[in-house]
Order: sequence, then C-alpha cells, then structure tokens
Amino acid sequence: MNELKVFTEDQRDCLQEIVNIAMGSAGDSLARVVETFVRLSIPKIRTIRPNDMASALVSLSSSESDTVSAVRQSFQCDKGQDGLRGEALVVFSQESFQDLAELMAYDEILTPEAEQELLLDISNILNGACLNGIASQLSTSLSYSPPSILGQGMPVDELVQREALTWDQALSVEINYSLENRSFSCDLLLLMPGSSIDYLCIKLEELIEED
Amino acid sequence: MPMDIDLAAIIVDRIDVGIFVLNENMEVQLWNRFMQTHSGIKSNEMFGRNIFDVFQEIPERWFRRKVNGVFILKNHAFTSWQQRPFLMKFSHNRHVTGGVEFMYQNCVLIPIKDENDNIKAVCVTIYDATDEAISQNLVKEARDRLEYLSRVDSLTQLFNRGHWEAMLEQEFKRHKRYGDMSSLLMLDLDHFKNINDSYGHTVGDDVLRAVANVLRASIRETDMGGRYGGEEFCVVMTATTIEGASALAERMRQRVEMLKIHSGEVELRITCSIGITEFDANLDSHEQLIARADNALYKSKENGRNQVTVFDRPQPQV
Amino acid sequence: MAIPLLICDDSNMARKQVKRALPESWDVDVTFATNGIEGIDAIRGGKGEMVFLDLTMPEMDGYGVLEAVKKENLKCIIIVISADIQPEARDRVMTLGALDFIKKPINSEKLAEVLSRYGLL
Repeated sequence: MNELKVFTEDQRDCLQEIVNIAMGSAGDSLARVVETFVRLSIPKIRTIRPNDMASALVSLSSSESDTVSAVRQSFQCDKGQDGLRGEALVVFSQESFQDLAELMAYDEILTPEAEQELLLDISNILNGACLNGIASQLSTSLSYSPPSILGQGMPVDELVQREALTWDQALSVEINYSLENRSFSCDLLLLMPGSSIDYLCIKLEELIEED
Repeated sequence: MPMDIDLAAIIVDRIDVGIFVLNENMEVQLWNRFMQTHSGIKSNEMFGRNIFDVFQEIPERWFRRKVNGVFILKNHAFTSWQQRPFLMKFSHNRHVTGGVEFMYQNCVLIPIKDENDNIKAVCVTIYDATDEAISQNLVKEARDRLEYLSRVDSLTQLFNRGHWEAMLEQEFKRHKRYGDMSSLLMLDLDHFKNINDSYGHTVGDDVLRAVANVLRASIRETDMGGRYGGEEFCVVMTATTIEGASALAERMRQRVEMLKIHSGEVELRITCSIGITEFDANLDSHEQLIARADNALYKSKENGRNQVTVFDRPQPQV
Repeated sequence: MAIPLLICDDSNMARKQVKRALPESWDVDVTFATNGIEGIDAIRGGKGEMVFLDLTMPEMDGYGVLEAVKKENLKCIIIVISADIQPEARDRVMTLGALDFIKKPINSEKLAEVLSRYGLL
C-alpha cells in the first residue's frame, strides 16, 4: 500500500477554490432546471482509502434519512491516457423525490421508472456541470458514461457493498446541494483514483505559478 | 490529421446507429440511413419537419425538456431503455423476442456548438438495446421463477409457512391501520397419522395434495392459502367477517368429507377439523391470531372432529 | 488618502486573486478576512469602506454579512465576488444592498470594468 498522497497547502487551497467555482456552476444548472434557490455547501476535499468509503457515505447529509438512492457515472479525460478520470456518485435522501417531481413539473404518476429517470437526469446535470467546471479551469475536457442507478430506496450501508472499489487511494470531493424551503437534499461525491491525483498536482502547480 | 468531410458524412449516414439532429424549434436538420430504414421516412422528406408532427408516440413535454436541457446547460443528456423502453417505435428484427415487442433504445443527446460556444443544435443518437433488454428479461424471468419457488410448498403448491406467515403479518398490520375486517382459518386433517402409518407416505402425499386442491378451489383470488405444517393448512380470508368465514369453512369441511381420494390401488376418505377467528386490532401480533384459531381448532378436535369451531373469548365464570 | 479595502473570502487563493486583480493605480489599504464574522468585525472597525465579499464561507456566509451590514447600517460599498452564480443569488445580494456581483474567477479586466462603471476608480 502506497503512502497517502498529500497536497501542499497552496495546492489544497487552489484545488478548494477550483472546486468551489465548479460547484457554483453545478448549482446554477440545478437552479435553472428546478427554478428554486440552491443552497451550496463548502466542499470537503481529502484523500481516502477504500476502507474510508463506508464512513464517508454514512456521514453524508443525505444519508441521515432511513433510505437513500444513488446514481453512479464515470468520467475520463478525452485527450488520451493522462488526465482526470474517476467516478461521480450522487446520493439522494428519500425525502427528495416528491420535491423533485413537483419541481420538474412531473405530472405523470411517479412510477419507479419515472423516479429513476429523475435521479439519472439530475445526477447527469450536476456531474456534468461540476466536472466540466473543474476541467475547464484546468484547461482540459472530459467525456462521460451514461449514468446508472447504483441503488434505489436502500439503507446507505448497503450502497457500499455494491461498489467494488479497485483503487488504492482516491481524491474525494464531497458537495451537498439542498433547496431552500424544501426537503430535497443530495450529495455529490467525486472519486478520482491515484493517477488523477498526480495529474492534479502538476496542473495545480502550473496555476499557482502563473500568479 | 483533419478528417475528410465527405468520409465523415458517409460514416454518419451509414453507421448502424440512429443519428438525427434537431434545431431549437425541434425541426430535423439531419436524418441518417438507420433512421430512414426504421421509420420508413426518407431524409429529404424529414428535413425541416417538426419531430413531434411526425412521431406522435414521443411524449412531447418530456422530450422537449430533455432537449432544451441540452441547449441551456450545454451538456450531454442520456436516456436508457430501462426507464423508457424507446424514444421511437421501431420494430426489431430479433428471432427470439423474450417478450419484447419493439426495438429497445438507449439515446445520447449531444450539444453542437457554434463559433461563439453557444449551442446551435442537438444531435440525438439512438442505440439499439434490444439484445440487452431481451437477455435482462430472460434473467428476470428466471429470477422470478426462483423467487416463486422459495415461496411455495412444492407438494401442495400452496404458500409455504414462512411466506404465508409473512403475508398474514402484513394483512394484520393493514387491519390494525385501516380497520377492514379479515378472518383466519386453520385446518387440520383428522387421523392423518394413521393414513401415513397404514398406507405409507406416497399415499399420504396424495391425500395432502387432494385436500390442498379443495382448499384452493374454495377460496377466492384475494385470499391467501398456505400449508402451515405436515397436515395443517391455513387461510387468510381478506375482507371477510366471521359470518362469511363460517360459511366458507363449513363448505370446505363438507368438500373434504365428500372427497374420494384415489392413490395407487387405494381409495380413501378423510375429514378435517377447522378453527376460525376474526381479526382483532386489540391483539398485539399476528401470532396471537394464530393462537386463537388454533384454540378453536383444538375445540373442534375435542368435540369429535369433522367440524368447524368459531373462536370465542372465554366467558368469565359466574 | 488610502481607502480601507476589505477582501472577505475563506480561500487564500481567492483572496490573492482579488488582490492581484486590483488596479495598480488605486490607492487602497487592504485587509483580509477569512469568514463572515471576521469580515463584519473588520467593517465595524473601519477597515472596510470598500468590500469584496465571497458568498460561501464558514461561520457566517456572505448573505449573513450583507444582512448584518444592512441591519447595523454600516457605511460601506460591497461588491460580491462569488462562485454561486445561480440567477437568484445575484438578485438576492442586490436586494441586500450589494453594489454589484462579479462571477468568479476574478481578473483585472472584469474588476476594472465594474469599478469604472460605478465611478469608483
């Protein structure tokens, strides 16, 4: 097992700000789609090991509800091997559905498939905006797999078993989105394995030096 | 190396994936051969037409929102056959259908930018996902079958005890919450041990099967019949008062009594004892309900067998 | 006389970016604050006649600062520089008394344009 990679203070700070800006962009996209004010959290950035996944998921705000639903979507740099790649998980609290359906003006009956579609669409919107936001600040671009349902209406600790984790360590970015005056809450968890961390360090240094 | 424009155009046209392009007004700007073949409409006939005018099966509100999302958010969007079987009703050409009527489709919506980075059009690509859908359906069917097998008693084809009790528990909870009346019936065969001892298990099994058939024939779609034990059966009668349950129980008793069971060279008759009780929300658990029905069943046995007893709360001694 | 200028943002990088974007000729006395509470204290202490304010901060966010300034009737000009770019965010900060809203990341062109628009340069 390799030593946990660590950023310098400057790199951390730079990364935090980059994520902050990207998060704002995702929040803006969500706000336009649901036409409601979106509350943004302060992103939590750290390096984790597979063992940390369970507690990471459990400590998300959305995980406070009895059951959650989650969507996964993978992304990769579209310019060859080196670059950002990883997986985005979006975890929704159980109470989010009704709100979401109303806000998306879904007047069809909320079948399980319709619920799934909502989850997938919102996840795609958040992931795309956030990751594109990060990528463009690093002067790169990404491509995405279609999003898929990781689990629906299940206790959060069941979610972890479903994810077969193949990395040794990963950069984890946690962002919470909630809507004002509504019970909707979801957490975006970006996971970028080891090689992405190396790539990021290089890019961050470039940005720091620029100034 | 910049790609030959003509080469790219040929590939877009001929590739085995549906490709069409829409402008902001949902009018078709490109329609490739896949689309032509499957829709029966030529590309020069489709050009400039509103997609909804031509394909009424597309839910307009949903698709508009999807496409507009791409225009506004400048990002890819996806649809999956698992939530929506298809965008357009095309037939598929698979021999084994596995219950799939039309082509199942996955779609990717791609933003097309102009020089100023604004989105001028959306490209929709349609992938045939029929194979995936068929194989998933087959897997699902196999899984459903497996699940069914774990709920059912293989000999009698009635619900096994585990599953039946779970259903009783659900029904009891419903009763506690909403108050609609249901009743419980427990049935035990009389002198069954003798039959097994005298004639053997094969005959015993035939007897059980015959009684199970009577039970099944006597109850309604909404009732839940199960095998509770070796020779004990049980029924949850939904939306039934004790009067209705009594009538049903008596009918069942008579039918069992009149049964002529043929097993190999043997012809047998059999009787049963039955105990019934109404649901009672004052009880704490479904087990207590079973205890009441069993109590009544025991009285039937004590009073000579081949009869129905209704559970009666013990009266205080005077 | 140098104008007391407060840059209020929890990100070191962002604070530096704003400072770097300031017009060279502008006579200002810069103070940093790392959250809303520090920010309000600085404003009360006369360190922020001109304020560049972030919205997402711990302890007290940018909205909290704007509300406090309004409530206490503190004299200052506030320009919000934030990543929270949803349409309603701009409306809210303007209603709460901000002069304008600049979308992050900041650069000297954007800042100069806004400052000259309001005749602050």
